[in-house]
Amino acid sequence: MTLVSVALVLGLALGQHVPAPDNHAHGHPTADVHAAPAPAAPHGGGHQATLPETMMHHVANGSVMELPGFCEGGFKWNCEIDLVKATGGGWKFQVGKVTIDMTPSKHVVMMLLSAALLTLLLVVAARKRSIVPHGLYNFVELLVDFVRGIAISNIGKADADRFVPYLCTAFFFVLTMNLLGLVPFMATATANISVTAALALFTFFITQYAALKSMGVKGYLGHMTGGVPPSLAWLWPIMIPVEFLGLFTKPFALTIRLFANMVAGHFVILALLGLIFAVSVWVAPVSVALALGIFMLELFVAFVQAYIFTMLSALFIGAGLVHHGHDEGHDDDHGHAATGEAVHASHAAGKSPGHG
Amino acid sequence: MNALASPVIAAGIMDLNPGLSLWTAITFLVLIGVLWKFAFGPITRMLAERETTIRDAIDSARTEREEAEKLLAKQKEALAKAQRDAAELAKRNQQEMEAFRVQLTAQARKEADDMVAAARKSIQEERKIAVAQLRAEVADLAVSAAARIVKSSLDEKTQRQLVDEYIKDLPAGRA
Repeated sequence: MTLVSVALVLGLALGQHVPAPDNHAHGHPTADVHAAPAPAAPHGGGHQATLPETMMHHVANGSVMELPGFCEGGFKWNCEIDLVKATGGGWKFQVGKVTIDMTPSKHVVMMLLSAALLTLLLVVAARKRSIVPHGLYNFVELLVDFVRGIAISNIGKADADRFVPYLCTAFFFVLTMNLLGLVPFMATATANISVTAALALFTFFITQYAALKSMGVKGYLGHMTGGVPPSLAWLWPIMIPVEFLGLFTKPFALTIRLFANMVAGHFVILALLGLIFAVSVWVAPVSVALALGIFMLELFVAFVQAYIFTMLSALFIGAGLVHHGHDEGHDDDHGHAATGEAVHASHAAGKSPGHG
Repeated sequence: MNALASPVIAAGIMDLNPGLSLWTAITFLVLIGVLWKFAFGPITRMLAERETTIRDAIDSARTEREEAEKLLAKQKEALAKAQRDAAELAKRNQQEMEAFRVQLTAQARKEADDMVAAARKSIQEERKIAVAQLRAEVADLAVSAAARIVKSSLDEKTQRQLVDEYIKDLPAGRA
């Protein structure tokens, strides 16, 4: 989380150096984020975006992709592809009073691209599997075995293999989206809270399903009292809301952790590069060197966050499955789950310096 | 706080976009299905299979080694026994040969002694025969000498002298 605060402080500091966009009309907060151009290539309209605006524009979702290519009669680094125009737009439907807009955005495209790449890579690799592994399959198998190790240590040997395909998919999908976000001209789909929330919901549902299946409805509801026996039933009005909230804090933590970490890295890189425009061109060597360092860190973080997402998913699933047959373990289970989480949180912090 | 969060809110990165979430859910669901069927299912099975294969291989190698060691011990024992047997046999053979040689030597000596004894005996007998023959010859010779003396009609004196000489010349030891 330190990177997030660093990013925000840097952003604020830069915001003071650059004139505020007083003449620019913001109709809706999200309406024209993609109208803000990159600082290096000012838009024709004569409007200079502030650095925070540019940074937000870079990280946020949008309906315009900017890719290098030939357009408007020549080569440009930021040829705009308007996805609303390209798809015809208006892929909307109504659920009750909520309108759901399914028109593909930048992050949808990145996500589909990741999924396609991943499918291609893994299916090709899996076709070459053999008892004596080699080449691409060997590498894929290494990662699968790594995830399987996470599953076995958090869920237990007996049940782990049922969840390995889900955990592997989560790991590879998050990893691919994280890494694609580091490729120039691409965007980070995992730096979008809507994406990470949907991913965390899968873990949530699988956790609840696994817990229900292993404990039964009665055991599941019994767990909601936090292991407080009926003799202390007057504590239940406190315990039950706490336990109920506990169900949702886990996927919420998954959502925010992945989202914030991916946003933070990009913010720091952008802020460092933004110093060149905000301060002087003479800070460029330092800025670029630091940004490069952060970029290397981001490569590492891409793996670490995929690992943490997978590991915490496995941990939650494993905690839901806990029933070792000993009855006094009810109370124990709880202590175990709570300390387990605490341990793993610190573990996660240790694994990602500055990202815990 | 408001000032700090405002650029974030302004860009809408904290907005929940149900369409995007739905896209994510669909993509993720399809991805789980496809990869489960074509990649992770088979790979997980392969990992389990390899685990089994390796465990089996190690187990069978251990069993085979134990068997081989047992066999080797047996072979060594058999070899030692064979060597012991051979040595014993050779020893016994040597003893038998020695005994046979002793026996053979004794027999040969006895035969030789017998032969010597027989030879001596036959020589003795031959000698007896020869002596008897000689004695008869001598008597004949005496008679013939006497006859010759008689024939030559010598005087008495001479006759006596002759007989005496003759007798004197006869070998001693005669009975």
